[in-house]
Amino acid sequence: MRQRSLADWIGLAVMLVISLAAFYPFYSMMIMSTYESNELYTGIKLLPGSYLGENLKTLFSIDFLAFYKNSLIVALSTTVLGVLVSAAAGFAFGKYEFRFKKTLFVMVLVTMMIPMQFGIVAFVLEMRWLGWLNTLLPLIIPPAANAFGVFWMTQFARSTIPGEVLESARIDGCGETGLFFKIVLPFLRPAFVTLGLLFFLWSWNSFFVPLIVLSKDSLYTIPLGIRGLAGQFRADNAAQVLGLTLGTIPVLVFFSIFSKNLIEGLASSAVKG
Amino acid sequence: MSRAAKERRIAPYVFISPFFLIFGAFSLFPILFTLYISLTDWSLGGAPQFIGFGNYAEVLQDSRFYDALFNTVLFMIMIIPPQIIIALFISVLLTNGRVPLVGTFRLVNFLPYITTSVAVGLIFGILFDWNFGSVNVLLAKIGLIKENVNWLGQPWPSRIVVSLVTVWKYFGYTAVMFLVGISGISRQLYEAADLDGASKMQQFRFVTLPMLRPVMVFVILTTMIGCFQIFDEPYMLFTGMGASVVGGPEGAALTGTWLIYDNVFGSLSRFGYGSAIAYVLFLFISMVSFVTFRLMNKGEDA
Repeated sequence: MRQRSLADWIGLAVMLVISLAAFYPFYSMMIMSTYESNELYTGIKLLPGSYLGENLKTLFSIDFLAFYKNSLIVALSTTVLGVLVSAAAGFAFGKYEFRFKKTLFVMVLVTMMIPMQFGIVAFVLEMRWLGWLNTLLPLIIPPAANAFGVFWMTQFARSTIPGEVLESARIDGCGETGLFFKIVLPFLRPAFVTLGLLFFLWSWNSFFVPLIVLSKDSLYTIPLGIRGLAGQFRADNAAQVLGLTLGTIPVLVFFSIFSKNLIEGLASSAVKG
Repeated sequence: MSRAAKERRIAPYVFISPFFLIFGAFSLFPILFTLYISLTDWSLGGAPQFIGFGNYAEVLQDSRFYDALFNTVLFMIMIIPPQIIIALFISVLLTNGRVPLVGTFRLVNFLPYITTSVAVGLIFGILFDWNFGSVNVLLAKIGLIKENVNWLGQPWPSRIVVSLVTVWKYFGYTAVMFLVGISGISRQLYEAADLDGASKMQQFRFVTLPMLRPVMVFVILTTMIGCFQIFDEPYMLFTGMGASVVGGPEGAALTGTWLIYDNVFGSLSRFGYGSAIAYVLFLFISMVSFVTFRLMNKGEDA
């Protein structure tokens, strides 16, 4: 390996400092879940404590497993639905010519910039009319239409699906729906991993909408559920942190496995301004 | 026309319809309907009364609305520059081939983004605790402070904590955007710059930065809009810790989203008024975004 210059060492040092700052609070989260709540407020902790068992007991004294299950149902459903919806729209925008295509695509791009919070009041009223309040549906269906997902699938479909393959399948008598399921979806598979991870993450961590549409304990997702851990004087923070740590682990595992895919997947679609 | 050709003509509309149906029903409709609600006096249980621009007149005299607006602008100033600088640094270091363990660094810097915001609020609340939080202990140990700082009990320290938390959570994601942008820059540009004798710094200044402009515009716009949406972390920071304070100490961390939440779902249930706030903020954010967009593209055309 080439000699490192002074600039390289400085770069490495800055990288280490930033990474440490990124890692420390995350590490603290895991460490905090092994202490008693009162001990959390007694200075810096670097090594695990001995209270993990007790915190687990507290955590399971509320219906933590149900919260976990709700989070899983919501996140997995949204992911599957969202990826399919994005893939279908991306295929259409990337591989067909049709009227209003440009206008519709610009609409998709513009909506990427509009936060849903602006419409939240009407959204909640709509949920009430539909009878969707205190169901998991508002957390599953609406997020499945994600403009970023469509934009991204369009880029991916345009650059990876060869037009000749589609043409020859058509000549063999394949209908358009068959085309999508038999030929397009396999081509888009690498993109599913990346986009699926993002959908899962956004859904798994969402707090604002669940906070507003759910008021029944049995339907709570993890972030809502752990608020119920009240101690005698204040919330049992350590048990809450444990719950959130357990909630972070699946995402952490997915991302450790797929982080290379995620970044390369995003890179391959190269954002065009 | 043959059946196959006909099918092929309608197919794209069929494929985009799930997206546009869901989008229309659950995003577009609420945004338009919110406009109507904002023109009514409507509270829980009651029927809507059309009152024209009454809510808007009230919004423009509401001091809490100006607090939220002011805080949002402050957060933009306090969050965007550090977030972009750190993210640029990381993404350049991860792509220049001079740093070992690229995969590990990449994952570690992405960890904050995958952490649930509720956890983030809770953890930072504990780390920034007035009496025994790690931050005060550390700052006292290295002699930077004589007295403990009441981070979450005073306006400016609270804003600093919220900004720090937000930068911490999102810089990794921003870095990925830049990584994507950098990997799209042609190697030949750097080779040509090398031949012309440009130093690494010059290459960054005259190749990387200009080529990243589209990504930069995207990042700045989305972060600005994100500043309006800040809610989860401060909500946990300031209400999860026992005392329930809307907007943090003296409303120093009150953001647009939090103000809407409080007016409609929190201490009050004023649908009409909350909707009017949403629309004024919507206008404000659109204007700021538009001006920023124009300013950032101006240099390009010249």
